[in-house]
Amino acid sequence: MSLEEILKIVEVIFREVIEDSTLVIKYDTNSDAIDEWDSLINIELIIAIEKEFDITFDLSQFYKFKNVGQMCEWIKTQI
Amino acid sequence: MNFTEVKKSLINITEDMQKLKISILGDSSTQFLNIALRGIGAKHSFNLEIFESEFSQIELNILNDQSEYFKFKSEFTILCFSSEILQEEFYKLNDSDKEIFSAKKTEYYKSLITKINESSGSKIIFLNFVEINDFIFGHMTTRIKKTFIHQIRLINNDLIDLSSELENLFILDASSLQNIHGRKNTYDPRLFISSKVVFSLDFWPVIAESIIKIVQSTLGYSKKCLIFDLDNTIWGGVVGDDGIENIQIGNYGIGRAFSTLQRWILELKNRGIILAVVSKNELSTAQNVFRNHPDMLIRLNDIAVFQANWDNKVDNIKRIKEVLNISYDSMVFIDDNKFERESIKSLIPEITVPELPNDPTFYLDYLTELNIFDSTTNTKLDGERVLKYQQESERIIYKNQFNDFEQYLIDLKMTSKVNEFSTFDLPRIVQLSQRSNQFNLTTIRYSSKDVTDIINSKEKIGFSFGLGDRFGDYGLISYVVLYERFKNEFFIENWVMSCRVLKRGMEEFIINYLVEYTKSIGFKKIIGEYIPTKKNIPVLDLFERLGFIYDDNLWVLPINTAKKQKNVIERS
Repeated sequence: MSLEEILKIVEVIFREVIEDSTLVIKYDTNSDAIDEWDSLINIELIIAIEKEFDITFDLSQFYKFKNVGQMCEWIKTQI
Repeated sequence: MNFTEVKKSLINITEDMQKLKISILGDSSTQFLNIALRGIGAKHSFNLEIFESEFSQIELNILNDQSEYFKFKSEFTILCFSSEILQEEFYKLNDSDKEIFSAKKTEYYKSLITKINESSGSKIIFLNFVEINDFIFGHMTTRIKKTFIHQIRLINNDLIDLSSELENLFILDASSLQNIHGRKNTYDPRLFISSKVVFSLDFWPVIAESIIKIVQSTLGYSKKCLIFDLDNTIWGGVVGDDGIENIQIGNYGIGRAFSTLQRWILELKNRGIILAVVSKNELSTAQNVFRNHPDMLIRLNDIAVFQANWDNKVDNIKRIKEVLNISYDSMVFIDDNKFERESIKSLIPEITVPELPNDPTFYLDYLTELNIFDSTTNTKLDGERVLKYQQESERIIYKNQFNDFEQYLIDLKMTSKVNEFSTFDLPRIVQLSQRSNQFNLTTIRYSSKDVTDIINSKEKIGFSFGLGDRFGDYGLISYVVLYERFKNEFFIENWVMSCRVLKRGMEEFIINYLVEYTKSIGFKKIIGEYIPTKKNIPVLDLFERLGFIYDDNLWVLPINTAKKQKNVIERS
């Protein structure tokens, strides 16, 4: 799967969890850019991404990535 | 439903839903419970207003009459203490204090609950403790008093006693829920370590669902009646086709699965749940199993209303409602057949209709997990009342058919595939021929060779009919074999159909097709014959219903006067 494809899937997950069907996610999107993205939403996002890609985050990775792009790159190494 | 799906149902909350105030007091992070509870509440038509206390504030809120919690005036209070936090507290104690831990804690919980009772009218839902075995002493752990698992079990036991002592207290059996789902699915250490969240994300909706069940039953919304189907639901096989001696119940093979389900149903009956039967069967055939099968556990005198006939199940459930005089939302309907389930769900949406798993082995686990018959009271249904219902149901005059059923059939978008016999359909035709006894007009059966002969024959012609609807494809469900017995007259050598699809317009569709075909080749009549057997009573009046005229032991349909039979099936 390419980085681009991963980003697309991640975008769908963000839209589901944040309940905003028009949300646009880019590589440099981070939690500052999305008001709703608090620690609880972060848990929801991670659990949803884990299920979608059948991967597991270590707790240390819950808050490690500086932006969505970094997370997508890590996902790419896991699948 | 997973957590994100539950969250989505929050937007369905409307002002006309029943409002309810609920407080959540927990010693861990309860925000997910707050969301899940409101979402699940919405699913059950509650508009919940929730007060959530900070997790260090339980005592402050309960001990002070002027607290935010008491000002909120909740109708229900959820006390959500967690095993993980309890464990931390336990490990700080010395050995002798560990041994009396449960007694101390129970006393403490009792004082909190008593205080809530004194200061408000709120009902209390207390989550009992999920079991954590730290295996400090290996498997000796359970024998040794100063271990955590031992103490948790004692506390859970004490809570049972407390709940019978204190009227406003209801225990939510979180420990059993963890048993069902497994700790690996109910607990995510990452959430606990990082955010003090004691259940995994998707377990919160399960907890919330249980809370709502308790709320509903304290409000009097409990289930009073279990309506069940017979064939392939409480026994294996189709009694009308297979015969009483061949149905599966008892101690062998798959039969055991059905017997276990029957035992559970009887336990429900003992608890006060009214039992009713709705089945597409001849009444005498169906009741014979209850009277004479040695392995049947449920007996006729356990059943308040027994509806075995060929009418649609919606009408039958309507009759049950008239006899029992209870509301639809207090009924549960179980049936292995998806068509029947969907028709009830769509025409009587208030009834609870569990989706049964395909494999009967899983019926019971699935049903128990749903906890449909939640109850906060314990009343018995005595034998006299069952008898009263039985008499009442004999008196009842059958009213008009449910008008909506026709609309339901239209919405199903049924289509039928019609084919001349082919080698491709051969196995299924042979199977249908061997298995069908009820919708079987002459009981002439066809082997593979017979079907091959028909395919190659110039005299005989066979048609097979499939059925599909928006829920799926039922495959080949009927066939007819015709030949010219007298000049320009088709004789139906046999017509067989699976009883599962009876009364959906399939008979009408087939006869229309046969009339059209007969007309197209210039024949004048279709002749049918009904040879009665013990099992084919369901088609006793078939030819009459389809407009045939009785004449010297045969049934005759003149093509020029044949009326189009009404149905809503499209040819595909």
